Amino acid sequence: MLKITDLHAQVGGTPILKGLDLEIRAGEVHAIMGPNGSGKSTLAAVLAGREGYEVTGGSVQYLGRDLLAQSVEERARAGLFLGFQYPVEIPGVSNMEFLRAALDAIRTARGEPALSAVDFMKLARETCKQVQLDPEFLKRGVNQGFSGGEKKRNEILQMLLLQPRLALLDETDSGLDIDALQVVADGVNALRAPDRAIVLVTHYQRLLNHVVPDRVHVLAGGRILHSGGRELALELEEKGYGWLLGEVA
Amino acid sequence: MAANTTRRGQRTEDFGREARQRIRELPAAAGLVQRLRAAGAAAFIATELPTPKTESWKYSRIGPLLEAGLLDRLAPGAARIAPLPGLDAHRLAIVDGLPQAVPNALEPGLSATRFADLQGTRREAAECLAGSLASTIGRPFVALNGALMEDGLLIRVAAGAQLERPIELAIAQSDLSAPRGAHPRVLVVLEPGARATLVERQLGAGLALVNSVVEIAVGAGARLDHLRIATDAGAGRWLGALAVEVDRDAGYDLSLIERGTAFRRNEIDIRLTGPGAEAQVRGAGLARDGSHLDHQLNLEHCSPRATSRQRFRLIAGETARAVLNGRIHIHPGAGKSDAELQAGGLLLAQGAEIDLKPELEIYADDVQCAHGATLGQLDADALFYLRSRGVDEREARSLLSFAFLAEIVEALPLAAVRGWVAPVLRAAFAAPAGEETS
Repeated sequence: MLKITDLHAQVGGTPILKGLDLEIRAGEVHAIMGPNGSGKSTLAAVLAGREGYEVTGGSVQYLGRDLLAQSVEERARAGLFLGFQYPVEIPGVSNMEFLRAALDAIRTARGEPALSAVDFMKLARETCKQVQLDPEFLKRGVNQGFSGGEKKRNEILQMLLLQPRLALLDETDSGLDIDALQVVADGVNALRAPDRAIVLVTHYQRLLNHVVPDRVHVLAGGRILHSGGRELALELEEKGYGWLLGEVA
Repeated sequence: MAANTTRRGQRTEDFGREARQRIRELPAAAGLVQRLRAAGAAAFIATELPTPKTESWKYSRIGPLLEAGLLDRLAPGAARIAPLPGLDAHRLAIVDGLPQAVPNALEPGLSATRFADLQGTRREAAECLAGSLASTIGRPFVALNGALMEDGLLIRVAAGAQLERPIELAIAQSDLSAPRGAHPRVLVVLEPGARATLVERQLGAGLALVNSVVEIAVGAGARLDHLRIATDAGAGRWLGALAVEVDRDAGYDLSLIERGTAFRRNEIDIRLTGPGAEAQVRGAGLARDGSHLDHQLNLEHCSPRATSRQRFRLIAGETARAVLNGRIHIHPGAGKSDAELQAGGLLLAQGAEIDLKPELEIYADDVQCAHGATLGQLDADALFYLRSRGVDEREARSLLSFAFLAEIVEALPLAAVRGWVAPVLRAAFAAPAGEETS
C-alpha cells in the first residue's frame, strides 16, 4: 500500500530524513517509535504534503501512484489521513460544516453520492458517541476551545467518519489521560480492516498496550534503524533507545 | 503624473459644472423637497469636490464617480425587488431615487410618508429634522443629494410603539441600462420609547450613481436596530451618507454587510447627544477583484455616560481596496464615556489593500476609550488542516474567509437575515475572480 524508498527531506535547509525505507501492506498496523528529534513528525508532514518540508531524494509510492506528486487534498481524497499532533483551532468554521465539507469531498472522490443533511447529522452524532464527544461540539468552531483530549477525540472522530485507507496518527496518544487513550485505541481498532493500514507514530509504548501492532520500527537520525514485532516496543520501554543508537554508532 | 493630475482636476471641474447645470435645470418642487433642494444647492456651490489632497478622500479615488452620464436624471425603469426570504416585513422602496407608493396596511405606530405628501404637524416635525442631521459641511455629495433629490421618505415610529415586524427598505436601481444618477433621501424618526428594526437593502449592480442620505433620530429611551445589507457587487457607484442622533438612554445598533463595487463608500456619523445613549456598529465587508469599499465612520460622544462599540471585519482580495477610517470624538463634558473600536483586516492576495485608520480625539476626563487594528492573511496551518481532510484549496480559502466575517454575521439581529446573508457571502468568496466590478 505504501512504499517509501530512500527518502530524504529537509526543513529550512536542515536535512531531517536521511534515507528512510519503509513498506506497509494493507491490513497491517505499524508503530514508528523514536526519540525526540528523530524525524517522526517530519515523516508524517512529508507524507501529508505539508508546505515547508522539502523532499530532496527518494520516492513514495501509495496505492501504486507517486504520492509526492499529489496535492494535499488529492492525497486525502486517495484515502490518506493524518491525525495531527497539535490540531489547529479554526474559529468561525463550525465543526459540523468542516466535517461535512470533508466527507463530501472524500465521498465524491470515492464515487459515492453525498449524504443528505439528515443522514450526515445522524452519522456525525453516532460517531461523536463512539469517541465520547458531546454532540454539542459539532456546533462549535473547529477545535475551538477544545481541551487537548477533546482535540484528539475530534481527530479520531474525523478518521472514523472519513474511513481512510491509510491512517497516520502523529503522536495522537501524547498528553492523553487513560480514558482518552482508550478512545484513541478503540478508534484505531475499529478501523482495522484487511484493506486498510494504520501507522502510529508515537513516543511511548503505552498506546501499544491497547493496539497491538504488526510491526514496530525505530526511527532515529532520519532513518529506520531497527524493525521488529510488538516485543520490540516492550524492549524499548524497558531499555530506552540508547542501546539501539549505540549499536549504530 | 502632472498631466494625470491635471486631467483628473479637469474632470472633477467638469463634473462640478455639469452638476450645477443639472441643479439649475431641475423643475421646481414645493414644500420640504424644495427647501432641501435650495439648501443643498447653496451648500454644493459652496463646497469643493474632493481632490487627491482631501484627507477624508485619501483612500477613495473619485474617478469612478466622474464618468459620463452619472448625473443624468432619467425616469426610473422597472425594478424587480425580491423580498428578503423568510422576512415578514413592512416593505418600502426607493427606485432610482424615487420613493415608491407606501403600502396601506402598516401596523399601528408606524407611518411612512413621502415628503411631497406630508401635511400638518407631521410636515412641521419633518421640516425641523430633515437636513439638520446630515451636515453638508465638507460633504459635497450630501449637498448634491439635497440639491438633486426627487422626493424623500419619512419613516416614523410613534412614541412608545414597539413594532412587531421589521421595516424592509429597498434602495434600488431600476433595470434601465443607461447610466444615471439617483439621490435617495430618507428620514427615520423614532419617537421617545419607540422600538423598531430597519433592514435597509442596497440593490442593483448597474452603472449608476446612487447617492443616498439617510437621517435617523432615535428619541429618548427608544431603540433602533438598523441593518444595511449591500451584497450586490458590480458597476454601481454607491455613496451612502448616514447621520444618526441618539438621545438620552436610547440605543442604536447598526450592522453593515457589504460587498465592494466599482465604488462604494459609507459616510457614517453617529452623535450620542443624550446622557446614557448607546451605539453599536458591526461591519463585515468583502471587496474582491478591483472593487472598492470605504467606510468613513465618525462617532461623536456629546453627552456623559454614553457608550459606543464598533467592530469591523474587512476582507480584500485580488486588487481590491477596503477602507475603514474610524473616528471617535469625545467632547468636553462627555465624562464617563466608554468607547471602543476594533478593526480587523484580512488580505487574500498580493495587490489587495486594506487601510484601517482609528482616530481618537478626547476632550473630556474620566473616559474609557480603546482601539485596536489588526491586519493579516489566511492562517497557513488552518488551510493545511482543511486540505488534509480532502477539502480543495479554493473551498478551504472560502471557508476560512467566511469564518473571518462569521462573528459579525452571527450577531445580526434577525435570524432570517442571518440565514440569507451567510450563503450569499459564501458564494461571493467561492466565485471566481472577475465578477465584482464587471
